[in-house]
Amino acid sequence: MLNRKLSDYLFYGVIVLIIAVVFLIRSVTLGSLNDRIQQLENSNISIQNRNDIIELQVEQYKDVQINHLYELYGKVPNFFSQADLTYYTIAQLELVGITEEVDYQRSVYVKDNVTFPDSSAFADLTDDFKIVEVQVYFNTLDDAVVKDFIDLLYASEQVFIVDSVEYTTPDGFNYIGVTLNFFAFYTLDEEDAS
Amino acid sequence: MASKRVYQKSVNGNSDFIYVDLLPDVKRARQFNVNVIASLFLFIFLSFVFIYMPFRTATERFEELNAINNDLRHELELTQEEFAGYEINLDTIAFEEEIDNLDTYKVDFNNYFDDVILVIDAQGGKITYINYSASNSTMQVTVLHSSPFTFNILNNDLLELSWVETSEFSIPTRTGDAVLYSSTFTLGVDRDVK
Repeated sequence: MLNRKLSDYLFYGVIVLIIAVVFLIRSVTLGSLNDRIQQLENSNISIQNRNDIIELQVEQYKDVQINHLYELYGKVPNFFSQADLTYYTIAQLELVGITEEVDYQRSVYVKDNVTFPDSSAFADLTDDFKIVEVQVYFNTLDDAVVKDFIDLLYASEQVFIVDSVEYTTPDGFNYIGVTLNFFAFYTLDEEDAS
Repeated sequence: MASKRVYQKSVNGNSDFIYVDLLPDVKRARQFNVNVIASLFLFIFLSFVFIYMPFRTATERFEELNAINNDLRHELELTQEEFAGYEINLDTIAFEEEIDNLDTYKVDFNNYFDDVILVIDAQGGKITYINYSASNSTMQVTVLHSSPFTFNILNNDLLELSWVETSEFSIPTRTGDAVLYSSTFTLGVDRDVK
């Protein structure tokens, strides 16, 4: 038979054991349930956000008439051909009267993979497009040719942006040299993007 | 107190014997039973307060969240169907927006240069050199004029052009034998001007 003192100790031990067991059960059952509640809350927030985004996109774009992809590729081609760009530039020069005659000293040089310093206005565009620089030089007696050439570039289906123009104004008797650089834009290849 | 029992073999008392239990007759402590009952009640009470009630609350919360989750998923399905119904292609939209963004980099050089020519002509000046750079957002124009004091007026007039952010000019220098002064204006070009 247990004596009284031992019995008391046993009682206290049992109380401690009961409290421990209760809190153990509580932590196991509620812990698991709270985890599932937390997962549900996160899931609800995530679904609600997706819902909001899609609803916003539907609201924003449902009436937008999107150009067909081939039209967009006409503005920014997905394929770069140095020869095509060179011949296109020469064709525009021919249209404004800059032929291959010796007097004009026409030259077209296409420079691939242009890089820009951070200070350049075009630095941000390198993330979205492959940018190709076309360097054009020719002689002329009339600087209106320069304006006509720029007008032709801006009227093209493909997007061109004039980067620099440099010339001295003509006196009507002597040829002046015109240096004109412009950019052509292409979609980024996966290799370029990486 | 030791228990004593008499076992009788016959009526005359022969061979009778007495069984004496010398072990102490100790009663089981009542305290132990009370402890068991108290422990049981304590277990029940603690279980109710710390397990059942929080569990019930958490379960209700879980069911409520689960119902919201189901509603949201259903709503998401409907929104996705609506999105698909409008045939919205986000890649194409993003591509078109990038191309539209490209247009903001275009500077209408011809119009800008015409503005400069008008200002210079109005003051009787003559442009001899032009150097435009879209990358640096600058336009350099060298001007000839008979009066060295007119350059300051020209500078003020150029600053009034909407697309001119800044304008500086070099100290006018006399050119050759002619009584003409030359100065180069450097204009800061704002390509975002409306």
